Amino acid sequence: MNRVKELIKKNNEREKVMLNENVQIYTNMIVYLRGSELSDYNQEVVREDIIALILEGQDRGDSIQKVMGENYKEICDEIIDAMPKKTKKEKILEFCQIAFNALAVLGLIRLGGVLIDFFTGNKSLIFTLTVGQILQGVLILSMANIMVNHITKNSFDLKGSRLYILVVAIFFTLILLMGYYLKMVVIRLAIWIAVILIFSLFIIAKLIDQKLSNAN
Amino acid sequence: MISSQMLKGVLEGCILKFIAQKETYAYEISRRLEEFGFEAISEGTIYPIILRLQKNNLIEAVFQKSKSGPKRKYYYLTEDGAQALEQFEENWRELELAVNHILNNGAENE
Repeated sequence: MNRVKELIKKNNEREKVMLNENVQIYTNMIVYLRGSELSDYNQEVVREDIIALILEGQDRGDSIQKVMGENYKEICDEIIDAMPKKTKKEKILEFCQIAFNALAVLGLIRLGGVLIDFFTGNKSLIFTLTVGQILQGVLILSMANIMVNHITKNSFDLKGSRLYILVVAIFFTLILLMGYYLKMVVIRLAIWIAVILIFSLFIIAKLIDQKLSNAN
Repeated sequence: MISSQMLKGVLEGCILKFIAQKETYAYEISRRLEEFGFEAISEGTIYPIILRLQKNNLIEAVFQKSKSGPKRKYYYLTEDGAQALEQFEENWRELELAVNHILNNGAENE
């Protein structure tokens, strides 16, 4: 197990004894830090320290407000400011890792669709992708990115703004419409080639993940 | 009320001083600051300063057993930290002298 995963496991274990009244603010702080430019390892180092401060406070009978002060966002900004940031190379690798992983998952879902069609006797065992399905994939990934970004940046004041709800609604409508109307097939592969490609995407994503973990 | 920017600079020096006196941890630092007259400085305020000191290699952390249970992070001064503390003390004395001079004599000249 690499040291990031080890630390994640340790932190997950330690946070279990946190009192309910402390969990909400602690979670908001961690979610906010997740959206920062800190590396995964540094995020976990900070998380480890924050858990230790809160649990020690708990043992003394101090609330999270007393331990952390009341300006949680300001404290998180100062923490982020004080820690080393991801390099450009790390950012690119991280983007590729997420993108490859997401493409592999979407590919796997599509593969499931092809297999279901085959076993219900409707179609042949050919992996096809239509314009609509490709655009759906791009939109799903973009929407996931926008949602994560919105949640992490606004973790201390997460109210569904009208504009945000409207953007999500438009995305969903577009995703549905594209799948329905844009049915021109642009990719047609033998099923075994599709399986190899999807598997390769998973492997590449995993290798990048390992490289990122070793770099931290 | 001391401005937050000024307070952070001063706190950095004070924290270095406490750590120079003995290996210590965040809560103890906040207690000692309170003892010396700083108004309720939480560990949340101290923690980013500690991180910055660590990033600049002025202090380092080591896990040690605590009486209360799990291991706790104790901080100790590095060689660079000792030099930075010396520099802070020198700067502070100069600043204190200059400000006192203005506050004490400036009013008389008005």
